[in-house]
Amino acid sequence: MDNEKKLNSSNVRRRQIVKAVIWSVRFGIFSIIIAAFLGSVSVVSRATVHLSPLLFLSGTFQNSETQSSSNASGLIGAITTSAASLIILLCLLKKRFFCRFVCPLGLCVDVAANIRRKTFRTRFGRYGLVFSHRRFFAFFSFFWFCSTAPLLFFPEVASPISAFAFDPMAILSQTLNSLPKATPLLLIFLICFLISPYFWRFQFCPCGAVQELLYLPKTFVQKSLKHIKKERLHEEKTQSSIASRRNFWAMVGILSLSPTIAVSIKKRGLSLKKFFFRPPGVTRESEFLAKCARCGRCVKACPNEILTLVNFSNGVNSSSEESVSPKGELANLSLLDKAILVGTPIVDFARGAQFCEKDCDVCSQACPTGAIFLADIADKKVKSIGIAKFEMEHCMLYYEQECSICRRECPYGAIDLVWLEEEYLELPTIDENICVGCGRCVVTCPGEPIFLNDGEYVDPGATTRVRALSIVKKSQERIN
Amino acid sequence: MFLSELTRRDLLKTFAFGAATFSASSLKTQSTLADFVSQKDKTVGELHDGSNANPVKLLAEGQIVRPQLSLPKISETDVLVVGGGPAGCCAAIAAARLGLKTTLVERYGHFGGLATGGLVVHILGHWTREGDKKVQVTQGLGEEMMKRLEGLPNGIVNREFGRNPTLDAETYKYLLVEMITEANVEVFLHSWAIDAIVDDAPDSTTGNPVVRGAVIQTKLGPQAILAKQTIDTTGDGDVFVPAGATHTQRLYNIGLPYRIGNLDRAKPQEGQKPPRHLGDVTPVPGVRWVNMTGPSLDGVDVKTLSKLELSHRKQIWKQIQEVRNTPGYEEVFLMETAPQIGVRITRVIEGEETLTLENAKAGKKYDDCVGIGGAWHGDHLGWQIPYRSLVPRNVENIITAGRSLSAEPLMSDVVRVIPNCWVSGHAAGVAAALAAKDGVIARNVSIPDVQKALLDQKAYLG
Ligand SMILES: Cc1cc2nc3c(=O)[nH]c(=O)nc-3n(C[C@H](O)[C@H](O)[C@H](O)COP(=O)(O)OP(=O)(O)OC[C@H]3O[C@@H](n4cnc5c(N)ncnc54)[C@H](O)[C@@H]3O)c2cc1C
Repeated sequence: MDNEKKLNSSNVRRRQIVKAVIWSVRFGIFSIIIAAFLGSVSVVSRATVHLSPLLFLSGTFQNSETQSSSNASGLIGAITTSAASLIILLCLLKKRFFCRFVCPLGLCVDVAANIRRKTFRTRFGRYGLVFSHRRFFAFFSFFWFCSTAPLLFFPEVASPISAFAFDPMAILSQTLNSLPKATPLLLIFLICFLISPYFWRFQFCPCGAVQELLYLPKTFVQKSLKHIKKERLHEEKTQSSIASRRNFWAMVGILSLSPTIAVSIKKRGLSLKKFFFRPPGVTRESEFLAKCARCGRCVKACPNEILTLVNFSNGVNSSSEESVSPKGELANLSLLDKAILVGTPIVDFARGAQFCEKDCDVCSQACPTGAIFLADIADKKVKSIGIAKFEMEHCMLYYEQECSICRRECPYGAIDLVWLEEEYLELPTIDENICVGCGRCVVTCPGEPIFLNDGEYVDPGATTRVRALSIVKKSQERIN
Repeated sequence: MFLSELTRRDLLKTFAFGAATFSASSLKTQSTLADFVSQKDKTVGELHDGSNANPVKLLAEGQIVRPQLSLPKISETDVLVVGGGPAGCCAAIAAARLGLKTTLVERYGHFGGLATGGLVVHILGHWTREGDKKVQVTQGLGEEMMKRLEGLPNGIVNREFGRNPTLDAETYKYLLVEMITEANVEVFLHSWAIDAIVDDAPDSTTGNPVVRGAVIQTKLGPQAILAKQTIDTTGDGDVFVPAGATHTQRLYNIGLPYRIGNLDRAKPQEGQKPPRHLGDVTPVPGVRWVNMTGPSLDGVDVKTLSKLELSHRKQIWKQIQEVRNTPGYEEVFLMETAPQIGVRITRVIEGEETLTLENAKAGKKYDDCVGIGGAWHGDHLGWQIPYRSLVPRNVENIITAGRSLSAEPLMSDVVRVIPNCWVSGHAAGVAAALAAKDGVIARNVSIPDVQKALLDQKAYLG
């Protein structure tokens, strides 16, 4: 007991020390940067801006002018370049290193958030009053960012509306240069802060996006290592939702690297559509791809855990080997297709043998951009996931087994057993006007029984099964 | 004909004599067959002149009427169980084990109902999922039966944790005889229950008619069994319907299962897909049982049943030929078709409480829970069986169990499987016995006492 207490208190002490060190490092870096900005030599302040991975990378790769200007100043250029390279290196190893240790705005946000949390917790709750409008802002910011991202490659036209200008270092230098000019930027920043202290960091900041991108390779390495270890399901879920944010920024990164991809989304989206079962509330795939922020919130929100995100390595984060999701087909997609689809949610009925609950629309409620949109529960019927398809040859009844589970389990009463004289059987029939493709029948179907001659009898459901029911796209949907 | 010369008094005497011999020496208790044999060649009754026969009359207006008849009483008992299927056998054994005089009536010559005579041998749904675990909710008599089958050669197969086992119909018939005689249940086989006996006066508290037993049809004509409590486990409500209990009549799949043999002599090619109509394994090597869904029709309509028997037999023959025409399976043969056509659901009582699928899925709890029902393949959680779902709304001293339990159509589908019939039968037996013992109407039996007695008999109540 005492030992435990001691251990605990020593743990607390150690954590406090680490915290103190981190904060002092952050304040140290902060003061250096501010000093550099305020310093009279404009070369220094201009160079300091390039500590931001976003500006540095875009400068290095895209804008030789900026590059030469920092190079021209010899020593200062060399120092900034090596400091920025170091930061990028650290970003590759540590998630959002810049955000957490270097970014002066990040520090401001953290300090302000701390104060706000302490002061206003009771009155405004954690997210403040504007929280309920978060959805709108996220929607807005994503479109704004996507549409201006290509401008990164043409700094000459980069205007105050460009994402470039919203780099934290850019904001800071602008503010310190001329407060009036920076006012709109600061206002937006402030609004973001009111929405949620971390809204800026995670939803808005373009520099954050680049850092997410930089961290991607490590994620993949980790993931593939973890894959071998075969984690438990819920761990995988957390993993996939973390990955989803990364996927989002990967998506953003790809967008900024090649504006042509953005143009082709619509076209590609249509041809890719047939592979996916989107969450209910999605009607047109191209619209969905444009709206979806790849934030993974729907996946986290889904109480039945049937949603998963398309990811780079295996197409789908499927936890199961069963063939009820189009995983196999996804794995064969081209890199370009994957790039478009990565981070978007799809329904995978194999996850934990679950289905889309009848009275649930939390995915739609969680969706910040309206990509998944259900006006109400009844809307699920219109914006269905798909429709159930029955294959006689895999049905228990076809092999003279007692079964009627699908009829009993269908939450909508869409399945009935109908007598077929030529088969001398009653078999499930699906009412296409009622079925919404919720997948309940798919996950409860015991599947084709495996009966070996007279030897081993394998209980249906005990092993991998071929089910008589599956979900397919509604035929009229395939066309539009 | 000699019967026509009998006087009315003689006839009654005849019946009384028949009844006496029956109850004295019948299949009851550990009696030996020697008692029976010694009566060989005895004259039953004196002069069979048939003068007092009482045939049904065809009246001039075309009406067919049965003239009133005073019935001989073949037995008087505490608990009368009509229908010796899975539910009825459990009910009878449970009641008799509580020390009450129990009588079991069965229309055929064996026990087990659809599970034996119907060749339905796959024990579905006595498992449920509770969290991540599978739980066997069928305990008590059902579990005892499965355990005892395990001890008999070729009695049961696939009895493993979480699996649905399959039993052998003949072994189960034997086991039931063993258990029923062990429990000292009085037995009337080859006796069709054709009517309920209802007291002249309604119950003083509820005003409902009170059931006092049932009439069975025997070769010697109709005979009466009087009982303090009656349990209708005929599956078709053959007693609660004439007693006047409100019920619904349903159409449901009617099939005809059969068994095939010589599967151990089949010589399929490497990797050959077996033919379709091979059904499912049985505990007997080389023998399989083939189920049949059949169309949804009225299972108490004799025209329908006759038509189906004819049609099903043709279909079975066709299926067998299909198997025999498959290379390697030429020696497979049709061993037997079920002597009892597979009627799943017909008349379902309207109980004080009706089970619904929605409640079952939501795991609704009842104060008067007398058993836990299972799911077919662990597809959902266990559900409670309230005592009130066994009790009709408008008749006293008759309860039901098994497939005629009060349930909405989709729920009947779950209720009717064999383990759930064991469970509800067990509960009905205990409840009727306690009601008879305490001299109360079945509706008012003490639920805590029933639950306690069930737990004493190792039932599972959650
Ligand atoms: C084709 C078919 C396949 C099935 N498959 C399965 C399966 O795979 N697994 C499963 O668990 N369940 C299955 N079932 C369901 C299950 O077999 C029955 O529901 C169950 O046996 C019912 O038990 P019970 O005691 O309520 O009624 P029954 O088994 O019908 O027993 C009723 C008894 O009462 C007797 N009786 C009826 N009327 C009278 C009368 N008037 N007088 C005297 N006696 C009478 C009958 O002869 C019978 O013995 C199937 C049913 C059918 C028909």
